Amino acid sequence: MDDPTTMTPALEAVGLGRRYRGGWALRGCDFTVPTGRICGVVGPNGAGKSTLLALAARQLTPTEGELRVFGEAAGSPGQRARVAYVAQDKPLYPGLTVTETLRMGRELNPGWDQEAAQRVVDQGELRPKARIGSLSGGQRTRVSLALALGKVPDLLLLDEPMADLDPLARHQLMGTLMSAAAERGTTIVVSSHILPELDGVIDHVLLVQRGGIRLAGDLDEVLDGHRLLTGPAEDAELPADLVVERRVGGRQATALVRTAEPLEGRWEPDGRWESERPSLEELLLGYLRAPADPRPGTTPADDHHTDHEAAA
Amino acid sequence: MNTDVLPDRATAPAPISGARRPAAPGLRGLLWLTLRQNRAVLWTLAALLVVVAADLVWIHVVIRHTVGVLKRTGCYEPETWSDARCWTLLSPINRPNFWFVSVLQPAVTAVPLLIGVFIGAPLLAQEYERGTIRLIRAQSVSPVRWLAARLAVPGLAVLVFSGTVASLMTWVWWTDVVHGQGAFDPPFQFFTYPALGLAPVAWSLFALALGVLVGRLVRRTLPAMFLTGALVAAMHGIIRWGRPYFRPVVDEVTALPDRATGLGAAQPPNAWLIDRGAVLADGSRVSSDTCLFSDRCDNATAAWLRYHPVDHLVPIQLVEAGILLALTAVILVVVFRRIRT
Repeated sequence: MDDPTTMTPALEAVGLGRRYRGGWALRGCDFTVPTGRICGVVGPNGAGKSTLLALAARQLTPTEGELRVFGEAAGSPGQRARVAYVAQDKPLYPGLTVTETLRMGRELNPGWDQEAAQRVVDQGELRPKARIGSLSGGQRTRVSLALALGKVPDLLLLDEPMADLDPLARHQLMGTLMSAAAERGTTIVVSSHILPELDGVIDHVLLVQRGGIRLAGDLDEVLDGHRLLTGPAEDAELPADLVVERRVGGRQATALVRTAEPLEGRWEPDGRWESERPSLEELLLGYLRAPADPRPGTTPADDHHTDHEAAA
Repeated sequence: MNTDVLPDRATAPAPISGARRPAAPGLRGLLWLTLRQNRAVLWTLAALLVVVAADLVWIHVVIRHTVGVLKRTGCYEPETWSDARCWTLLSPINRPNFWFVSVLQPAVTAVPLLIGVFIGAPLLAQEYERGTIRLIRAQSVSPVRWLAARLAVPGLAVLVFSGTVASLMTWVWWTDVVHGQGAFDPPFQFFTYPALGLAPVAWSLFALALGVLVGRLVRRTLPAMFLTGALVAAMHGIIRWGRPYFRPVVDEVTALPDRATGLGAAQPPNAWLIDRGAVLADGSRVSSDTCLFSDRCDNATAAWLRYHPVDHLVPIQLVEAGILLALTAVILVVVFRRIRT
């Protein structure tokens, strides 16, 4: 990868908002995804994850603000070739065969890597002459991912890519994606609500909740900035503004606290509190369980919103 | 290199991308995709074209042969047909005439509607319904170029199909039917006019474009097909209503025919009679409809006719084709604007 691209972030949102007929799906989003990262977009159903990815793929235009992709605010021919996108419903032409679908990828993309695409298809032992319409959901996902990887993108946007794959295929494809990222420095933005799928894979996180960005940043920094405390239930006096989420089970209390600002001087966990670094799943569950402050003017939109076509 | 990859395929893109800008894949790629997607449509049109052409050639051959026999035996003139021998010799002409007037002409009249419903409407509606428009938008090719190729292939196919059918229909009509014996087929009739000259071509292209637009707006295949059919039929009604005004009619005042046949002053052969009636003693005109139910026309001094003579056929068709093709162009502009966003 050449130098200028490593300098510009892969994604940069400034006041990004998108409204559907039903209301705002995303509003007031500001975040950056540096080039070369594997970024997980997590959040509950209907939080706006799909909308965010569709905006990055230039399938949608923002209602307000902007989303720069490699520094460009709007789609351009050069950008189209650099960004690959696998939509949640994995649209493909049902009448084409697997081979013809890959041929389509080759005919429509100048930098096509037939070998990379073929490898993904072969791994799944798909019959080359099988029509897409006759494939199972998981097999279609495989063909969609092959199309995206064959394009050799600099930015790969995957919307719930693994939802209908069996564990083995999921593992295989994650491996393929990771090696592609490692070899070529591809930035991958992957949305998912299956948290274990992302653990150990992502190094950057975007937590989307109720149409806003709740948490964004380098995964290690985010995890280091939180502590998971376990202690006696009766002594659960914690500074309210730092507590993300707190649960009391029997005589035990568990709390996820932000420690980005030092706790010292405000509150010191004494010997009865056990403090540990939260795992990705604990962190995200803590945030997902905690009620987010409702954003004014934002209504939770359906994540499976199919109205992906840009309004005129 | 992976052994699964055919060597020619793996190396093929390299020389192309060397000659062109690497960001713009050649039209060859898009052409391949649209030809593949239109395979069924192209085969169907080709098969239909062969069937219609064979039919028309058969009609031409049978009529030519029969007319030759009639001429050699002195049975060509209608006055001789009362003779049983001539009647027998004439009868082979009925089947091809019937086939042309009652089967082929209605079928060709329906062609534009069928093209709009079965080729135009699903073209974009299906892409939206199946979400494949998002697949296309995720490729390196620009959506505008994709749409250009997506429309050009079926557009050219429809142009060639309707153009060939229209020329063959016009040729057989001109050489064998309208000037021949045994068939009454004036050009302005309901099923004759749309199957003649430019009409099938202009209507087919218009219906195709209209179907594409409806499909883009409705985004669901079946509703788009129904709506396209209804709109093409409605447009047919509107154009038919306006057709007499595409060229000034000939207005003629003739002497009254004899009383026995009423106001039967006749227009020239194959003309399109718009209206006729009687000129009264005070110089005012009354339509023949009024005359039927009153005695006002009894003291008529002359008859009047308004009609399009047969040589108005070409100008009227040119005006009609111009209107339809202009609408087609407008529709295409709207469709291209809609796809860019």
